[in-house]
Parts: sequence; structure tokens; C-alpha cells
Amino acid sequence: MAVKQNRKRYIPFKIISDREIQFETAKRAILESSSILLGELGASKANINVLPEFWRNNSGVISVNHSYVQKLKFSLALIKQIHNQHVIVRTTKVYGTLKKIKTMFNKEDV
Amino acid sequence: MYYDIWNEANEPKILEKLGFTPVDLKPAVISARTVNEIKSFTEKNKDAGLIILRKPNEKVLKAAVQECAIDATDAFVEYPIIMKLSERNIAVLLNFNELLNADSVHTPRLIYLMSRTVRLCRKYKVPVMITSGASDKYSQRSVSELIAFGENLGMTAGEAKEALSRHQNRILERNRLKKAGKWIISGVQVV
Repeated sequence: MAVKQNRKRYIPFKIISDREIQFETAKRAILESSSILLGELGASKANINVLPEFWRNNSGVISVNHSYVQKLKFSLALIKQIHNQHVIVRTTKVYGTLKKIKTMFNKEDV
Repeated sequence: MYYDIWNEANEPKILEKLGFTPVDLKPAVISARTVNEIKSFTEKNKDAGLIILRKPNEKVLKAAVQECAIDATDAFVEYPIIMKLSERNIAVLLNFNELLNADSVHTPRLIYLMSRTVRLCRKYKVPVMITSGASDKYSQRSVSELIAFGENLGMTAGEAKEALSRHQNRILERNRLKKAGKWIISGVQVV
């Protein structure tokens, strides 16, 4: 049976910070950190995407290739500052489908 | 339950948010340069719940391990000493804060040294503990991030989870016994 090469995983995350952070700023920080850790080639294989439709109250969702989940989490942990603002990027569960993540987002905060 | 055993941030609410169980254990972090210093420091901190030897040189580490004066060290240990650590059940600490505060030039080297330490610890059955080593609120990290950190250093998911709970549980149990007056020395306790 054929298996899809790029199986996506969805990681909800929350940025703990004193101030509110804009989506574009957060996205830039995440992509920069992941390309530092994985390298440009690795980051392109990881197919990292921060989904804008889920962004609210400093929390959002990242989609990534299934084999790069732990690497992405590690790169998120290495983010110290966003726009000169000290932050903690926290992740919890990993989801396999968008449907599940939508129901989770409707039910509770990340 | 997961424990961040070396966290100087003192923010129990955030710690709980990040998935850890807060503990009332203050580790004594020693950074000694000579063998005499280590003797005096360990004598001073005899009653501390946990004694961590920070970045020792080879001589100091050897002396500390020989006397079994410490509970953990964050040194990148190598072959002959690692066997002693295993015999005396002294843990190796992987400090995330060290990586967080390293500049970009030194990060790859640090990751290499940490992953080599993990490999050796697995070979010689030395307990490994992962800690955030946080000094302030924003250098704390969540359980899931620290597990990912461990996995990226070459641990399996199970090993990474154990590194956040197993040896810490032992230390906490020992402190509980100490407080109850049932613990005499390592291996001897009142039943």
C-alpha cells in the first residue's frame, strides 16, 4: 500500500510573555529558530508552517512533517526572545488531523 | 510526575503550568576549583537535599566521586570516571540553560558533548537527569520541550521521560526519610 511521504502533524503552542505578540513576529521567530537548528535544507524538509487561522492570545498551531516533530519542539525551546521580549514557548500535545485540532481549539485554550 | 530539580526561578505557578510538580528542595550548587575547596563546600552543605557539582575539572570531580560527596554533576564525563559514577550512583545532569545561553558558535559543540555523555551514560548505566537549570522566570521550559531536548541528544522517549522523574524520585524519597529521621547513610535506614 502506498504511504504518503509527507504526513503532517499539528502542534499547538502557547507563547508565555508579558506582552501580546503579533502573528508575523511569532512566525518569523519560529522559522528563524528552526532554520538555525535544522539548517536550511532540514527546515525545508520539515515543511514547517505556522497556521494563521488558529492564532489568538499568543497561541497558535504549527504544522510539520511527522519525522521532525521532536526537532521542531527542541528548536521552539531554544527561542529566548521575540522582539526583545523574553518568552517561553510551550507545547503540549501533537495532533494528526486538522479536524481534531479544530475541535480542541473550540473547546479549550492551548 | 516530572520534576525540574535544579530550578532557581522560584515560580511554582509557572512550573505547574509547564507540567512539573513543584518540590521544596533547594539544591546546593558547588563550583570548586581545588580538592580542598570541594571538601570544605561539601562539609558546609552536608544537610542540603541535593548537592550538584558544577563544571569541575578532572581532579576535583575525581576527588568528589571518590568521597561520594555529591549527588550529581553537570560535567561532560569520560571513560574512567564514568564507571565510578555508575558504582556510586551519582547522576549526570543535562542542563538545558547551558545550551540556551550558549552563543551560536558553541551550540553545536555543546550538543555533541551532551549527546556523547548520553551515549556513555547508557553504556555504563549512569543515571541521567534533565533539568532546565533556570535562573529566572523565562529560562524555564516545559516537560514536552525537555523531553524533546533529551530525544534530540540520542535518548529514546522513555529514557527522556525517566530522566525527568526516576532519579529525582529517589532523591526526594531520600529527603523524605532524612526529614523523618529514618535515613542514616546511603544504604542504611531505620525500618
